[in-house]
Amino acid sequence: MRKTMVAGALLITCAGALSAQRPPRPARPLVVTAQNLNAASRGSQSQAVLPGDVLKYQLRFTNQNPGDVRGVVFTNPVPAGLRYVDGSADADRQDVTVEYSADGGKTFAATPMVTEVVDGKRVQRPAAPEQYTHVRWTVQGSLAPGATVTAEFRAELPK
Amino acid sequence: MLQRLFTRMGISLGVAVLLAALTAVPANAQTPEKTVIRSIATVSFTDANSNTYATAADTADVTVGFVAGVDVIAGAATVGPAAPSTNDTLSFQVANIGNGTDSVTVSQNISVGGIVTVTGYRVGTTTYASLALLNTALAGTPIAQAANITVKVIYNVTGGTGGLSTVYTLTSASRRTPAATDNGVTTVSPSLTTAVTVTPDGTQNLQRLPSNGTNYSFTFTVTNNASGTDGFDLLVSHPKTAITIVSVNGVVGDSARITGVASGASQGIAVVYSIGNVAAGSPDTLVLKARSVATPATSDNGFADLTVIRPLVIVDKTAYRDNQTTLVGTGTVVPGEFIQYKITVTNSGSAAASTVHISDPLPTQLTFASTSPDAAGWTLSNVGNAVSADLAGTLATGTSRFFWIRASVK
Repeated sequence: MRKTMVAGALLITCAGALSAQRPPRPARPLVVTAQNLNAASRGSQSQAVLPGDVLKYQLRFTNQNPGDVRGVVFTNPVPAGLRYVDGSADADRQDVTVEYSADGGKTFAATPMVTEVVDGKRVQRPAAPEQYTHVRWTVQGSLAPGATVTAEFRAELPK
Repeated sequence: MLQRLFTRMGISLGVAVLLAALTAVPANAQTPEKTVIRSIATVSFTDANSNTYATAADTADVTVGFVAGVDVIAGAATVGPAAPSTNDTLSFQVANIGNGTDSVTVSQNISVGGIVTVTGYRVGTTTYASLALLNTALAGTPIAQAANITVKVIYNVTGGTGGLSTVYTLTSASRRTPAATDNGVTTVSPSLTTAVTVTPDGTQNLQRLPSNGTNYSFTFTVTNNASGTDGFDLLVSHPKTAITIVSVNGVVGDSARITGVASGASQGIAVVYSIGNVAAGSPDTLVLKARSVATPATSDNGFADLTVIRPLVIVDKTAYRDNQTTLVGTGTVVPGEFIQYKITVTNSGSAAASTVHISDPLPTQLTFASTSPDAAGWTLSNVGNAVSADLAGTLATGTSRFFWIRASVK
């Protein structure tokens, strides 16, 4: 029989989320924040991540150029030690396509494939979500000056 | 390229190494406490004329908190030490399955008292005489993540507890998060070594009359010499035909069962029997077998020798002159002469005779005159020449009694 109990009070240090607590810095085109979705349910004000917790990462890009930009592509490796939560990648625009990599970012596809040996033969099958190593969002359209696009995904710290 | 990216993002080499180390954590291991998980996002874009721009990047760091976890694994589900025995051990592995260094406290529970007595606790090569001393030591014994310690519980087993069971539970709690606990359980079942003795083993030379409706009883003693409480099947037999078994320990028939006989305890078992109408001197043996209920192969016999006895009374009648000393023998008597008959009864059997009664009708040529006993105990009477004698009490084996009848010759 195994029992566990959560304890401790550690901090999430999010470059974007905690930017207000840092010295003023120039506006950045990309701001990444991380939110522990389980911290509140524990009644803890701490954002410490514990095994089993799910983190929500949000990537916010702002076009700081004077003209339109296009071909906007976000790439986020799934953080080491975390597992991508199936179906969690999303964006706030309709013209965004999401792709994944299961080979360390070498190739991307909506359904990445992995190769395995079955009965001595190399066969390909769809990678399981926990095998995803990267998430990539591609914005099909253009962004006007000052416009933003937000992408997000979730990842779990395994128990 | 990634290194350049890290440098541009201000990621130190140490963090980079930590990130690399994370990938080495086994899939089933919890991420260690204080680990910083860094997420690095990049974005690329072009302008309307397909001019490229520098890739923008940002990071988000999260730090892993502490989750306590304790796993106690008993070295054995069940042990069967001897009873009694000393310095037996129970082994428990206390593992830290949390994601950071922790220390533990331990406590114990023994479900049934009186079977085992804990005398100490050993961790490594050090033995602690009490739980308090053990916990004091454990408080200063940090256990790294995924590491463990082994606690050995030293105990003695109380004599006479073979066949009983008690459950020993060792509970361990995290010191950092005391609510995180686990326990290991071992059932201690001291082995039951069965042994029984039934006494006596003969030499009683019981002398019994044929029952004629009167039953006899003989009590054997059954002693439980096992290492624990046991029960016994009681089986009575007899090799010859003189004996008939009536009941065993109050149970009609030739068998019964007793239970719950404590180690070292004895119990008297009464066997009621009768003796058939057989010849004096017929031998038989009353045999009581006590067979262990726990281990039927364990048994012992006790027995009582028995011989059937009966009285054998012989009557002798001899004529004397009136002086009671001179035998008439082959001589003659004359009318008017008084003679005396000496009536002697002798018990030459193997049992005392009781209600001895003699009838002696004198011949018609004689006239009854009187009777006289050899000693008190005779009741002598007559009706004419019909003389009767009754002996009070018993006529012991090998003894004789007599009385006189005086009569005159017509």
